Amino acid sequence: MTLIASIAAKNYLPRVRVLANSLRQQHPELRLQVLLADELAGELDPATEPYDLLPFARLGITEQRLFCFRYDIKQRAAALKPFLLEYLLDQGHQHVLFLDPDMLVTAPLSPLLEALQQQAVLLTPHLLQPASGPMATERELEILRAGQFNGGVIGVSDEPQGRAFLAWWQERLVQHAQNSVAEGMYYDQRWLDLAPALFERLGVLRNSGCNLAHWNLAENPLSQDEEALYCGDQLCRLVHFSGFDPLRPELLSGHAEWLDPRGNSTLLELMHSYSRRLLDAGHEQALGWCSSWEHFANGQPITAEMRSLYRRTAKAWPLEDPFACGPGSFLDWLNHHHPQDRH
Amino acid sequence: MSALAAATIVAKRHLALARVISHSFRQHHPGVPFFVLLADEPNELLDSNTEDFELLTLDTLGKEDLLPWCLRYEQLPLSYALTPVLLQHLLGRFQRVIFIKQESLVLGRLDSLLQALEKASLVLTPHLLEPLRGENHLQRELAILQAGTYNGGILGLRDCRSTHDFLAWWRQRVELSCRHDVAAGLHYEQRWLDLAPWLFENVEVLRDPGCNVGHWHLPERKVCWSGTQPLVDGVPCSLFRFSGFDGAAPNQATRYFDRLTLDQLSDAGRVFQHYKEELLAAGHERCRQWPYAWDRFANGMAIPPIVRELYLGMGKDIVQFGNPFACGINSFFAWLRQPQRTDRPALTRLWFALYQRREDVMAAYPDPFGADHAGLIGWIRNTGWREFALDRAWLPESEA
Repeated sequence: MTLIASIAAKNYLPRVRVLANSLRQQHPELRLQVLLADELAGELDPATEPYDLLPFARLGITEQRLFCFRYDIKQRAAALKPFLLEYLLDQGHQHVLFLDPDMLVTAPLSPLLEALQQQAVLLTPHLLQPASGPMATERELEILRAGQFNGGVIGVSDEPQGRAFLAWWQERLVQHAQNSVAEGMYYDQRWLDLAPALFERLGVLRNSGCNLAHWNLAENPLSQDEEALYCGDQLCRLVHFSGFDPLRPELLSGHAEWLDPRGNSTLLELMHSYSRRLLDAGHEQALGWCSSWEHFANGQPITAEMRSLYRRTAKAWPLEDPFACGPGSFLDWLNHHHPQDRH
Repeated sequence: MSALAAATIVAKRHLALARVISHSFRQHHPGVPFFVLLADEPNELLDSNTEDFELLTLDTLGKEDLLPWCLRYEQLPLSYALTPVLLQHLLGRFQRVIFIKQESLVLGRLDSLLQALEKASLVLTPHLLEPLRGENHLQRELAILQAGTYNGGILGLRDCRSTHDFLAWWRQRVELSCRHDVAAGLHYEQRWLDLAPWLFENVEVLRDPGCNVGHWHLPERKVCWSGTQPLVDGVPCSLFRFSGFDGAAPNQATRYFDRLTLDQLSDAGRVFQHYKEELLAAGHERCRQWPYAWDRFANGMAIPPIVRELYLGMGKDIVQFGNPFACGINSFFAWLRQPQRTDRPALTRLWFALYQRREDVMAAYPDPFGADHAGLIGWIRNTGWREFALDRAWLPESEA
């Protein structure tokens, strides 16, 4: 049996609830385990959630506090993927399918589940045909910046090549999961570009219906009949609402403002219904839940620039707790150095 | 239709590189025609009758459409961008075509590639077949991610529908996007190949450690050279690449990674030395002095990088100018020398663009069409032209 896995910060838990309920409708037999890349402070009772919540500490990340300082929540959630997948294989699961929390299951995931039975690693490419329309080149460039594969769907099986892939990806993501396209990085995702040539038994699923999002929707327009939702001539099984804000349900994605959904009533209806589901699942309440590891011990917020500075100067504070505030701490150094000295 | 051909692309000054590829290819594949596309204009220095390859010029490929590419791109990016154009031309005439990029040496039969082409429509070679483990391995893998998963050093293509679709798509993309701009997702023609295996049918990724050996994996791939053909990780090496190898810097394997030295590489270092000797024997010292056709306008004025950048930025709007190198009334050259604003004729479009690329100059002269106009023009006349290394002929004419 395949285990479904996901990773979320607290404010994404309403998305996970919607994913969990849509998954249960299509696959009542599958369990969903969710790693919290964050820490609960009494916001919810995990026992009443429609998924199994895995606390961050359970992964046993080496130097967890350094890891949490190095990365902001988005980078952290991305970088934890191979660690979670290995942990779940260690728990005895033969196949694990990772899904991003901002996904909706709209039909059985059999193409993914069946392909994963045959492979050590399973990936889905962003584009399966050239982009069309006046934005074609710009859209393809965006994929070149982000990576050939979408990190929102990752399948892995407990066999040597699956384990080798995870070990390789982990070693890279310990330090290199930033959004830094000029360096060849885009969170966890660009590393996947290398994987098909490095690992055997790696499958690439060519099915737009198994990861439909703003990047491939124009070539696979949505439609529906009484029974099902389709994208192009395929069954639409898994919709990825990357960059969707339920408070702006008329925009499919903040990453694709050019995409005008008004010509497609099926799409519009889907966006509004997903927005309603997220709101019903507590989206607005969760917006008020603060992520952990966003502040120094004295309450001062940690900025992106500070995290990046820490990354570049980390060798100078090998034993310090980066969140600490006393003399000799990273914060102390920040406060006593002119910005120009830091580069 | 003939069965097989091979080809490369160079400017005149790199003709010796093409000779070395052609000669080494034909040693292992006798009787297979080898084509060299000149990304340049032929001249009397080059006598194609004495060469052992068949020379193609832009005239054969539709020069009128391609001339804008020659202004848009510097010499090397131009030779890269022309790859799909050349392959479109050859694939109508040959069933299978092998493209080999400049800075290569064929050391054995390319049978693994040809065998893959029996079924595949397009064969690509990845930079890496296994994770890097040597010195700086993470930084070196990141360098690959900046450059692209596949190395454009060798391509195999079979004449079929999906290959033609691929070439038409690739040509469309590199026509305006063959720059080196990693932050934009670009690495000349090469990063586009990352998308090809999923966009087109029947693309095969060749896993032969002996085909397309280069600096990027050399610390890990083991090269042994005892007899005629080197072995790489125990298999015969058919193609060795020397990207960024400049025989002028002794002991340096590539300008892209200066810590890799030839003596570090032992047997692989000897392959570099051998290549350098082949280049010299092929007349590299003489050819590298040959002129390049497209670094000047028709009137002889040198083309500075800003001019290419502006021309590229105009996309397809440049059709209005006709021949991009012309200097007549409605030419791009004349357009560059027109005033940015008619009430301030001394500040030409070219100089205004240069001004906008210099934050310090913008800070010193914040009102270029008003209070700071005279000051800016003075700076251009006294200092600016030197700082941009521009021909004085680009200087603004005196304001009436």
